[in-house]
Amino acid sequence: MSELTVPTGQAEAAQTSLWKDAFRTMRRRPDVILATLILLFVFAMAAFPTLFTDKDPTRCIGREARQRPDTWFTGEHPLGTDAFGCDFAATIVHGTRPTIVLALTVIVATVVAGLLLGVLAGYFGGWLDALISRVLDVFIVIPMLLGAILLLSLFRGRGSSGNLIETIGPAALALMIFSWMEFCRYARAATIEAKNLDYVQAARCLGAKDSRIMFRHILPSAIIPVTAVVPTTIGAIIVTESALAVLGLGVQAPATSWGVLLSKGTEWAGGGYVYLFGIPLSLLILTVFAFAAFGDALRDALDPKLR
Amino acid sequence: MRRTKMAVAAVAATGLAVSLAACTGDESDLDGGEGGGGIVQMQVGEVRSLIPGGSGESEGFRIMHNLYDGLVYYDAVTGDPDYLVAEDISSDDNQTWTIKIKDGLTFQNGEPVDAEAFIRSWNRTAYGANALPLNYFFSTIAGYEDLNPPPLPEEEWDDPDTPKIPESDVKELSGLSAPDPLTLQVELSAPFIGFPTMLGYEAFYPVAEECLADTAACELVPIGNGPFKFEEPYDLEAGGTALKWEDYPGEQPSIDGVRWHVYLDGANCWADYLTGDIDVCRPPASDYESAVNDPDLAERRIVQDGTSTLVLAFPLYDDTYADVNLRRAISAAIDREGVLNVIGPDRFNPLDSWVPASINGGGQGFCGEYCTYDPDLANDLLEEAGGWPEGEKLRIWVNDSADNLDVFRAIGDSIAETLSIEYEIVPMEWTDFLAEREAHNLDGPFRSGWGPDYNLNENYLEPVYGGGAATNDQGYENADYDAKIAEAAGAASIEEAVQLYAEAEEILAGDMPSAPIFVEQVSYFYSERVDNVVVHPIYSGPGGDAELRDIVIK
Repeated sequence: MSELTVPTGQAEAAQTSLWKDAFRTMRRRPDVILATLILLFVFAMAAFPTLFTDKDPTRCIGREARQRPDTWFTGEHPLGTDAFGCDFAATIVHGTRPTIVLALTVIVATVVAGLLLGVLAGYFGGWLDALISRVLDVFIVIPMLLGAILLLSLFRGRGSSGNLIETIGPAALALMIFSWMEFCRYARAATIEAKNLDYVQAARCLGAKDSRIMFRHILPSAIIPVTAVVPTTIGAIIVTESALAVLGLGVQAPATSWGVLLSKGTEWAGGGYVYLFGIPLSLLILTVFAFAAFGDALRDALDPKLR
Repeated sequence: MRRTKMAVAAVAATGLAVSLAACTGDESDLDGGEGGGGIVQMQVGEVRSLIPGGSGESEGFRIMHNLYDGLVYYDAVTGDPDYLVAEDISSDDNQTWTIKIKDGLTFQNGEPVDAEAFIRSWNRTAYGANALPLNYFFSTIAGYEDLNPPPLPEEEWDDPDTPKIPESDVKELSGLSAPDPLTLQVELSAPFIGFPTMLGYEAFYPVAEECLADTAACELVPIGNGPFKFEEPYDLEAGGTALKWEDYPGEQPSIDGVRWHVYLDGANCWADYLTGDIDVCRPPASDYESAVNDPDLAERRIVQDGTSTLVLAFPLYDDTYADVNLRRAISAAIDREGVLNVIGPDRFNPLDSWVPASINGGGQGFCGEYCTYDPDLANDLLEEAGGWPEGEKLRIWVNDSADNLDVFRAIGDSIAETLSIEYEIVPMEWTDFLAEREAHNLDGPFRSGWGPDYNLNENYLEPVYGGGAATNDQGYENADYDAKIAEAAGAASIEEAVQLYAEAEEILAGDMPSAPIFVEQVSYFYSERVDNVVVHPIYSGPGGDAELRDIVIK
């Protein structure tokens, strides 16, 4: 198989320089730097909540309920307390992990599924393409929110305070089923384009198997347009999760996610406790902005046509 | 903004401007418009039954007491039983009671309301195989045992959660007789001075023959003898409208009818109240502060001592809760004031007795230090009881209606914080919850709310903790307690009985089968279009209710 290493090596070299290029372009943009900082902050909260708060979010003292965050970021309760007297900062920080883990799980699963189906459909064409494309059409026609609502109604009322998987499982599943299509379409288009290119033909002439061509030669180029939409999609997933939680589906209390916090906050905002709604909302908007800005920059950087 | 919106809704509802009704775009406004403006909009939860004897919970009763007239009706101020269908109730020995029934009364289908109508109803509920929730009310009447043989062995039950009582040959209480059509004679198995006081309760309402001939139809369109009458079937999920019964011989209500709107699964009526679609409602905790501080609403607020209690009951049949000190520890660990701060002050008051002060003989404070928040005492008691089982969670069973989950989360938080144990809330639907706790299937403390059926401290004791370990929800039994209850029932005067019942409560306090937490404080708001809103201490249901016999639409 030594003859095959030559084209592969070249492809890798080209790829490396493309990613490197993109990285170089991006790090010069101030909005990307800002977005990266926000994302680092959010990811750090999800991974190491204890760095940000030493309070236990399940320790709630009724007498201290609904203390407004007058001391802002300092004092006993840096962000006040919620309706049950739990430290609000701790609640937000610990609610970050389910939100982020859910978003990442969904994105990884959908990218993998989307890429796989897209490359298969694009590469083999024929009845397999027809089948995958029609299924894709069906799923595109159903709006993501509607589909998720329908699916999650099945899990309704199964509140869980148990482990992370139980908590985010139903919502993650629903979001996965209704968000793989975009990746699939991009991957399919890129595959169709790439499979007739000379280097692919060359690999085929050299006797490479279908699987090798697909995954070593086509996938690396198909992955580029997909990568550009990933950050924006993560933002969309976080927003959809919140929408589901506000509708009483998705992650269910007593487990927390930003969506659950928002949903509870809406009850209290009208009663004069705007911070219970405002703080999670700001965090959500900031994060989604960061993902969107990052995705935008990534697309600019990766798209050769813009360079 | 609120004022304007409500004014629009009120105008639309009185039917003055049909075009405005269309603007508000809510079907219940249109209901009001078509009905001529006399329909009161009330809220209700999940109803178990609308035939007397079948409900035994607040939601069925709040509807039923408007459809049926009992022998007596409790006074809204004193709680004393005033004669309604009865003309006279008397007894020489407190054991044989003679009830004279007013002449000429009929059911809404024309059947006479006579002694037979009561006997029919009471026999049905007392018959064990019918498995009706208010069956135990008739255990004081002679012949009850014949209708209630011991339950079948467990493997023969249709439903593994409900004991099945076999059919018996005797289907009528031997203690009931009708010397003439308008005289009902009741023979009790032991003297009971409080008997007339009980008779205004659902268990003792009469039932029409036509109703028993087809109970399924009667559940949907009950045949009552009271001031309101269903024309259309009642829907468990959508509610229904009962109109004034034109031929009602008593005092006609001033309104034309009432529409009950059903709120399930933690939904509450407040948003609909603010748009004028519900006439009497209690704000949820989150809206409580803004409601109380709104000068427009404040004028239309009713605050009075309530009679409903909220109790955390213990499953004594579970080994974990067998030690009284553990039960005391949990009770003393609950910061009642702190919980109130979470769920909105004024909704409840902390309770330190099993019978609230607003009931005859209540407010004795027998729970004392165990019903006062004392973290040190709680931890000492827990230690004495051998500590909390390692790795176990305290599972608190709650029905999920209204904001029960919030209330019990606050309670659970307080227990967890004080005793350093973990807890979890297990929510259930109302009727499932009732069935499960009656079947002793719960493995942790559970919510037990009690609203009075009549104004006597006995009502908070015997129906909840009596009947023996197999019968009551807690699995509680104490021979001293039962003896004291029996002694009180045989007292010569009602005052003496009240005193003896209080002594029984003290025995109960020693065993602590449950932890008293709150007594409700009525804090309801009513809409601009209604007036003369009376919240009845005994008949009113939770979450917003009023006397429909008295309420007036302006």
